[in-house]
This record gives sequence, C-alpha cells and structure tokens, in this order.
Amino acid sequence: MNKHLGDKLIDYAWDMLTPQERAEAEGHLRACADCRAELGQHQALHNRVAATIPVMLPIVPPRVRDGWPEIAARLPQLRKAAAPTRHSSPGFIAVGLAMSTAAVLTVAVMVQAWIGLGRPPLTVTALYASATPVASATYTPERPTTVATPVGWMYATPLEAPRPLPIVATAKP
Amino acid sequence: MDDSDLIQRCLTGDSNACADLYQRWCGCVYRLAYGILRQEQDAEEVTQDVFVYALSRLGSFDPSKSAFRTWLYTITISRSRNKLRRKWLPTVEIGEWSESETTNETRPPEELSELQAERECVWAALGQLSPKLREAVVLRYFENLTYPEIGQILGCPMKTIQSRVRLAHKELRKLLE
Repeated sequence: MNKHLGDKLIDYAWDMLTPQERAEAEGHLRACADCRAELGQHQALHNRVAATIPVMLPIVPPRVRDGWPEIAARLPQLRKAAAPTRHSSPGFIAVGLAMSTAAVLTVAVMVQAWIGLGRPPLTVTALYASATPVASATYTPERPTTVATPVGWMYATPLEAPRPLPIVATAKP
Repeated sequence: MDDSDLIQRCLTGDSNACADLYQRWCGCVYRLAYGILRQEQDAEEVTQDVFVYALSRLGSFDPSKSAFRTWLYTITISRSRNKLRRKWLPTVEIGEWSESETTNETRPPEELSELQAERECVWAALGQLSPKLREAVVLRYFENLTYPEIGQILGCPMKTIQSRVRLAHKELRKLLE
C-alpha cells in the first residue's frame, strides 16, 4: 500500500486538491481504513467551520446600509486630493513635457539673444538698426545695449535686407 | 445592470450609480471586514474607508486583471489589516451576531441553544487564529470563494493559501479538542 496521505487529507477535506490529486487520494482512501478514519475527523472539523462562518457574520446594520450620504460627503475632497494621480496619464505627461521644453527653449533663446550668441551679429545689429534711429551715438554693433533686442528674436527673419551699419554715427568725443 | 455598467457610469461622475454600487456591495464588504476584525464599529469604519478609497480610485480598476468583487475584497483585506495593526482588538465579541439567522430556524429551543453554543465555540476558536490564517478561512466560507480567488485577493500563490488553510485547520483542531 502507498504511504498515508497525511496533510493531503486536510486538503481533501477543504476541497483544495486538483481533480487529478483528488482522484489519486480517493484511490488510496478506498484501500486505507486509517486514512479514511482520519479524513472523517478532518471533515467533521471542516464542516463545523464551514457551517459557522456564514452564520456568525452579522447581518448588515442600518448604519452601514444607509451610510451612502456620509461616504458621498467624503468623496469630493478625496477626488481633489487624488487629482495629481489622475493627471499622470501619458497624455498629461506628454503635454507637461512639451510645455516645459517650450519654456526651457524660450529661456535659452532669450539668454542667447541677451549675450549675443546663436545668431550672426550682423542680423542682430541689422534688426536693431532698423528699429533704432541711426543717429544714436552710443550704439555698439558687437553687442546690443538695450533689452529691446531679445524681443526682436521672435521676429528673427528680417523684413528687409540688412542695411550697412551706420559707421558714421559711432564717432566718439 | 451589472457592475461594469455601473462602474462606467460612476466614472462619468454619476452619483446615483455610485450609490447603487455601494448598496450592492456594502453588505459583503462589511461582513468580510467583520470576519477579520470581529468588531462592529471597526468593520463599519473599514467599510466606509473601502468605498471612499474604491470610488475615488475607480479609474485604476482594471477589469481585465480581476473581477470588481476581487478588487473590492483586496481593498477590504488591506484596510482591515491596517486597522488591526493600528489598535489592539478584543479577541472575541460574541452576542452581537445575527439574531435573525438563528431565530428563523425551525428547531426545538434546546437544539437551537446547543447549536448556538457550538457556533460560538468555533467562532471563538477562529478568533484565536492569527489574522493571516483567519483571512484565508473566512474568505473561503464567507462567500464560497475559490482558492484562486482567495490567492488573488490576498496576493499569494495557491501554495501559500493551501499552507495557511492547513495551519489554520491544525490550530482549530487543537483549540476545539
């Protein structure tokens, strides 16, 4: 005879065996009186537990059954608190990334404009020259001196061909 | 109307659908929480927390991964565990259980009284199990859940559930001898 089923009998009593395991166990049980007797004890205990739990769990009290308004009152603030989680969907991430990239690029362009890098100085000065009276005595072509110039980068393509710099106006005392 | 329809309506902000979903499941959630916590007030608080959490995060429920019931019970188990961790609970609280269940039975009073004593005895023994063992046993007989469902709710492989049920059975045997 095969060896006794041991803990498999508990699994059998609690219906945790696969169909194949169950068939094997039943094959053994047919031939083994000891295991049958032990299984009887396991099944008796199992049946006591199975009969107790559903009955001992209480019926739902009215406070719970009628508790929806209290829960509904708690929901809006939680929805608000949970808002960042909802916004972490791929669409929101993409929009967020695009907006921050645009912001960084704008700042970079403005900084570059401020220090006079990234564009040929001639274009800068030409734009500047086209917007500023050529008679300015303090004008220096290498580096714009007013804050107005960076804004001009938004209209980077000159509307007219660069004019020669007004060299004649740069005479210093 | 089935759960998925109600959930879809809840996701569009339909408060009536949320109320319907609550009415449909509050009893099961409460009874499961009570089975773990064994205290009415704690079970009520957990029930409320479960629904506030579930309804505010309904968008994260994925029907392709589990049934709504499984998802809800997973939250219930998790909230009940938190409750158990936070406070010491008396092990057994008998006497508040359903009167209607027993009084409806058509048996002689002596037999009913014996039956009640027997149930109280088993219920008290269940209360002495560790929470993890108790969860496995309560889930099995609270709604006749299958072991794979229990595994999904508790986040454990089938072998772990099997081992917990065996341990619970052995402990109950000792306690009830």
